[in-house]
Amino acid sequence: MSNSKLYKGSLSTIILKLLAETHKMYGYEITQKVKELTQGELTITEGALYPALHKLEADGFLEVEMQRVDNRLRKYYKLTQAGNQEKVSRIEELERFIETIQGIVKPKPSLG
Amino acid sequence: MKQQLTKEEIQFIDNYLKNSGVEYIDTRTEVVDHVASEIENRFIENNTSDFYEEFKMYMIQHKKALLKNIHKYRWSLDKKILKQVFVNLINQKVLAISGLFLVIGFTLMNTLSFENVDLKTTYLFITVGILFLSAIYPLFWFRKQKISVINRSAVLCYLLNYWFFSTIEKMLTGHLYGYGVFIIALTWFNISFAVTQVNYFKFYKDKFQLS
Repeated sequence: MSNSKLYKGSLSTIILKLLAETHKMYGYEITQKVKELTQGELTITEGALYPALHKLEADGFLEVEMQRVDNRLRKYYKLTQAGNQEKVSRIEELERFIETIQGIVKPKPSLG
Repeated sequence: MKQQLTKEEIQFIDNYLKNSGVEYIDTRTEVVDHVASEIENRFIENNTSDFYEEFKMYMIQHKKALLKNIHKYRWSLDKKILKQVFVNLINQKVLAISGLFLVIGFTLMNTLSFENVDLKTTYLFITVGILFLSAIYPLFWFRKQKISVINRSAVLCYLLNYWFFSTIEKMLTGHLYGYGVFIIALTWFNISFAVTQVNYFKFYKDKFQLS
């Protein structure tokens, strides 16, 4: 990815959005899904992903479920009801941000 | 071609991370799964089954990123613990135990003369007992396995009690009524802390299949 700072503030929104579309996901699955959806343009590092997941969990937006898979424990994340509400507001916020940036980067030609 | 890691290989990753500073089992469990999933993925992509070679390559590329921010969520954790402690203040169990302490306290005060009752010593004895049960019992139970929320809540409990004693208690010395209210409030708060800690203990014991 060319500029990770541009994506940094949107990481929690991306996680909430992905979890809203899937019943539950684990950390590695999230990184792979993002890689797949962005054709490798966006790579979420472990150092960014897990603190973001733990913060969302501590804030009550995610709940966890443990499952034993292939000789190890796997931690799945699911959206809580508060997480669902948070996702809606964060996506609206992100859309407004994208519109604002577009207005600066690609201003609509004025008729006057 | 091997695609899944063995128990020994998983244990190797776990030990490596533990020795690299990922001390809490609740954090380490998912990092172990992450590393194992990536190595299994590499087995397929690179058409290999050399665990140690793939592990070494992964750590050369990712160790810094993996360990950089692993404990960065501490403030969120503190907020979560304190929020739960305040919610538990009106929990039936907490109210019942606090009520019991109150009744015992009043009974002692009515049956003994004030000269014979050292309130500070009595309170310290009770508080230390509660703190010991709430903070030490889960740590003792899990032995060498550290759990972030349990360790953090024990630290928070001690810090807050230290702060209460070093500021408010000094302000109230000599004011018997105020001191009594302070004792009741602090005991109520500590019981809520203890119940919260026991609930976390049960939760993690089940979730992480610890014994």
